[in-house]
Amino acid sequence: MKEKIRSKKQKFSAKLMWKQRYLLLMSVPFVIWLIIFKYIPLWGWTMAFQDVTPKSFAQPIWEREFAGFGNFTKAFTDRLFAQTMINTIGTSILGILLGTVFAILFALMMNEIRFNRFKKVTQTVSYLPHFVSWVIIASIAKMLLNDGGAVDTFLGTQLHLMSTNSPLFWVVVCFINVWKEMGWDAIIYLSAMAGIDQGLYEAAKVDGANRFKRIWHITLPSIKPTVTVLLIMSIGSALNVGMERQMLLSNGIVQDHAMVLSWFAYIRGIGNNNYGLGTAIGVFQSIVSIALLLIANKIAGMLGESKLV
Amino acid sequence: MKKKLIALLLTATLTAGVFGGCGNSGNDSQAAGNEGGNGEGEVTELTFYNADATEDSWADPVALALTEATGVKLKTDYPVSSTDQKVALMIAEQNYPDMIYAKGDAGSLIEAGALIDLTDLIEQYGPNIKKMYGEELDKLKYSKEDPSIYQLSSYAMGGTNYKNSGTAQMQWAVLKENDYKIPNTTDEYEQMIRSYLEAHPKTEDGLDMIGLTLSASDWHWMITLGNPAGYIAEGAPDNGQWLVDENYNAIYKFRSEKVRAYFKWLNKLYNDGILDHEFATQTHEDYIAKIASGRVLSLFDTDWDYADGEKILIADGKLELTYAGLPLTMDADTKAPSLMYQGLTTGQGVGITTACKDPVAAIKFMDYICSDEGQVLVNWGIKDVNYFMDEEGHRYRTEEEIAEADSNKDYAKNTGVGFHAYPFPTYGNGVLDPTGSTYTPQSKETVVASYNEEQKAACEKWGVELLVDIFPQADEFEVPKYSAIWAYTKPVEFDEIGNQLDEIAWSDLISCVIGSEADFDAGYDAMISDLEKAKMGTAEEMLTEIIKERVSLVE
Repeated sequence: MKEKIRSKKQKFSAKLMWKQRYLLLMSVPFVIWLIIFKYIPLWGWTMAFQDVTPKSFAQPIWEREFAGFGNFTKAFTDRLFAQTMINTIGTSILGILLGTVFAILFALMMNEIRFNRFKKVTQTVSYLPHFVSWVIIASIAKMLLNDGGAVDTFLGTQLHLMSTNSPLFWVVVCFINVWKEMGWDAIIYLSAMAGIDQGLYEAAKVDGANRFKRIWHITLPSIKPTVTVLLIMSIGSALNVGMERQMLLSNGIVQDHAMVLSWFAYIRGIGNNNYGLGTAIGVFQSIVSIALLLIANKIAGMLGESKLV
Repeated sequence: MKKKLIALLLTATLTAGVFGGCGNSGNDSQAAGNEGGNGEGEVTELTFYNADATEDSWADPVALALTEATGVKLKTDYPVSSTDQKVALMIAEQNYPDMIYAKGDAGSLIEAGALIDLTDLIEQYGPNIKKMYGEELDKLKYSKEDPSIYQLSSYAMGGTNYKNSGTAQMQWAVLKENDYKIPNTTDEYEQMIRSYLEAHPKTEDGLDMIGLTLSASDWHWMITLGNPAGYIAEGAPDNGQWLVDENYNAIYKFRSEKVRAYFKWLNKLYNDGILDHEFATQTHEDYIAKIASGRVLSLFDTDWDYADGEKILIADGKLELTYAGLPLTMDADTKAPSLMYQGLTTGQGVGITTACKDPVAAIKFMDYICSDEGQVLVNWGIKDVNYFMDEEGHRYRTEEEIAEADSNKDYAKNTGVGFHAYPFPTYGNGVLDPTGSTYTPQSKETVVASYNEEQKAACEKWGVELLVDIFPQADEFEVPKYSAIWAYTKPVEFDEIGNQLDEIAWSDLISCVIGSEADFDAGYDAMISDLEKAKMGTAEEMLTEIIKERVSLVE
């Protein structure tokens, strides 16, 4: 039976297409949608190879001046570019690590709670910040962390959390992000944990495994595929560090370590009215993201985990 | 019981809603009546983007009078925040309003070909505009290659400075303790604050006194950290981030040795605990809140920027904690440039876009505002309501009106007085119209009359009539042949470098100030070399050329 299915899958023929005509027909609208909204706009990428300033913006694409890879060279030689790449990658790797670890830890703790009402209340409270806008989160965070803010006052020292121009700012941002997103991210791990066969725990209990051993040997291995899939997905979007978060939390001093690729594209592209340059940065970001996604997927495959694509 | 209460509440809300609705519709029909009353056919509604506006429903009496006189009604749009790049998005979408006041973004609009040349329109329909600008009309021209007038100026034409917050501000309390001494040098200034701090380390509420604070977490850094550096160290007028010498050579301000010495002084103040340790990260709201608490002894700011904090002090009756504007400079030889007239500020003003439905109506509208009648309407309001005429035929405002204007923050919005003046062209304070009254309500007499006890006491002590009399007067300075550089529309290539220079200077200057005194020189040198790498030299050359071109336009 299994053999049969596999051989069927391999053979791509008109006969097969005819057989699945209704399925194919049903997918047509979505393919068209995809082409119109996701592929045709890619035509705009031509702007990355042109000089597009307010002067030439109104002209049709074929009348604009082509700049070859000029915009890319300009972006890569910008004094902020190297630092921006380091910031983007630093912030996102740190963010992914901290985010995953804290979300899993939190999910484990929630999973171990037996008092149901408390569990529900805690869970609801924990994911509420996810729905609060960054504007509000940022002002709360600034009140706590600024020089002379609540944390400084409480500890009676000057920590300079928001006024040290160093990667310390990444850590600060990532922890604020953890605080905002931990509860929300934990939901998916919790649901993965809910799907684990209770019989395994029963058997482990009989064998004399304590709680920590059960967590280590049953819960964690069981959610491993979920963790892998989520990690692959997050690596694919590693360069898409949200701009508003960085803008809202930064100030004059930490600006150098707050700049990320999307913000860089915005200030150099829209801010300086150099749309070609902005598009070039965007194109670069997309290409690197695709490469990262493929690499992460490959590594996951080599490690014997389920591949995403 | 509970149910009854809820029912009652519901009824109350509903009734309120119904009445509210009635009230509104009543207003609408009244407005419609007024519009219909002008009898000259349709009212043209023009969309207007105003980079400095707040909500404007065009329903106040002055707005309605403007519509009656010109047949034009403005629908105003405004930015949500100072960094939302709305004009850049308009260009990207090719979607323009009829009229636009883009402020600093005008250059890109002109480059995008979005503004129309007003020269012919002014010639044909703008006699009052020509009359107002007189010889300075030429300054509005864009460049030598393109002598079009794309926008009028949003800044005052001529006039005298009756009020000025100077280069530095100090609480009256501190001045009093120092027997109203006017500090001649930064050392004297520092000493005054120091001795006051020693005598009064804490406020009555037990909070620590702050010697000096700045607002530097967003664009305000240019106002409180950047601008004062030029005034105090160089005695240079406001040319944005640039210093211009007598041969029209421009240099980036923070490259000057004197400015460097100024920042070194700030660094010392920071390490001595006189400059607020929180200044680097505090938001502008924190800054205003500190001023409002009366803890801040001195500022390096400009009145419009700290006014919100001072208003609260005045409302609380803590007059001696409000600020005196001082002509502070680094040494006794430098002259504080606060009163200098830099000529008409050009480069920022209202323009008409290519998308405009009716450019003639738009220019006629602006021409009316420039007329004597229009100027009086936008600056003084409605006759016999907002102002009255005395026996000699001079305009005056009642004391209640003045008090209302000073204390009610919604005064301008509700009455429309002064609400529709800026960013349209306007005469400066003290300029007289043909009847001998000033175009704006502010005159020497009204300024003197508006002084509070602290200010009166200071005038007496200093033996002057106006507080600004302690400043070097406007006639001691030559009016430069180029208008203020900060308002220029500069080419995109220049802005690209300029923005980067500002990015570097912003973070590095703050880091230098909050670093240890031993690190200052190394930090400042590093900043200068970064600035050079970011093509500071190229930008300076470009600007020098632009200034020389502007000078040749006038000559």
